[in-house]
Amino acid sequence: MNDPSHIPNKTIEQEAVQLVQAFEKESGTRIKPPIPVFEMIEFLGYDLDFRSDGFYKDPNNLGGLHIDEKLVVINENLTEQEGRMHFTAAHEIGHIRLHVSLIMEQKAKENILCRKDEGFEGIKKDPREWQADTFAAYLLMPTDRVNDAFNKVSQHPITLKKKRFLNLFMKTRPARQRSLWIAENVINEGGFENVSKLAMANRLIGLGLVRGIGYQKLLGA
Amino acid sequence: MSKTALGLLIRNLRKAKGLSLRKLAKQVDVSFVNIAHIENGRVVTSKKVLKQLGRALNYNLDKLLAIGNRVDDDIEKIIRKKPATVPEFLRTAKNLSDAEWQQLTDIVKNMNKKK
Repeated sequence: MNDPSHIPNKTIEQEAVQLVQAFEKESGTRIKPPIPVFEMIEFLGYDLDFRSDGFYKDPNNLGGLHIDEKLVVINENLTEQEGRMHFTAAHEIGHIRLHVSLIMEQKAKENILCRKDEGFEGIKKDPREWQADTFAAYLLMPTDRVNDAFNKVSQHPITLKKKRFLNLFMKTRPARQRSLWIAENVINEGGFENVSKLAMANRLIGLGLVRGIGYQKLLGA
Repeated sequence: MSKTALGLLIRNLRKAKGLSLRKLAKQVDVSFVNIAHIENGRVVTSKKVLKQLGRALNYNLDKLLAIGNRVDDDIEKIIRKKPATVPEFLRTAKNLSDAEWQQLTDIVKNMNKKK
């Protein structure tokens, strides 16, 4: 992982899996969803803070990793959005696992401050932010657990076709709405209580379990 | 002591007991964000929550209240009951050593027994 601009998704997933295994060993319990990401932050030796001042006055600034202080900060405005708050916490763990060692090697006095427009939802697509988002998705929604839960909802991948002209006269829900409905069912079946429907829908799309639709963004984002 | 000292104490006690923010929050019946705020010195902690924290963390309640710049209700009652005598007594005794305070406590206990 010397080149931070490219870390293969497989490596990112392995990092997430290894963290879960290490946490299971330490806690002596098998971890299942909802994945306890806040406990994992402390397991990694970081303290937690929730702030709504300064940089965090802006709700688009989701979180931060203060490496020197070994502190993870979550924007307090997120605390009423369970899914987003946990995704941000998992994202910061992603930075700890994927980027901190490199920053330490470079002896850079750097904090990582995370803005909404630099990750999955953004247009800036900073590689580090993107990788941390990918890590968060793997950590909160492990592949095997998602597959198991999806199998309870459907025996086969679901293809959501775009509306055809004839469908305009029928009462069918748009593909996005249907993907969110499937995601909700998978969340319920798998106990992914700290995952948003949008994040699950994108995970299902990424795994090829929901097809015929691209990655979804938060409306209004 | 400052709010930060209280926060550090709570964090250290919690970690020594191997409790996560969430587990402690559940025991104290507040949100885990609230516990994080207490640990980071961002809020003034109520007497009620301090007492619950003391119980959950097995820490002397009076000491914890003092670190949180508070005094337990029963102590306040005693002072209010004798608003001249008790403060005067405390001012007189303020320079006593721990051992002398203990002696004094023993004397008072004996006085109580004789009643």
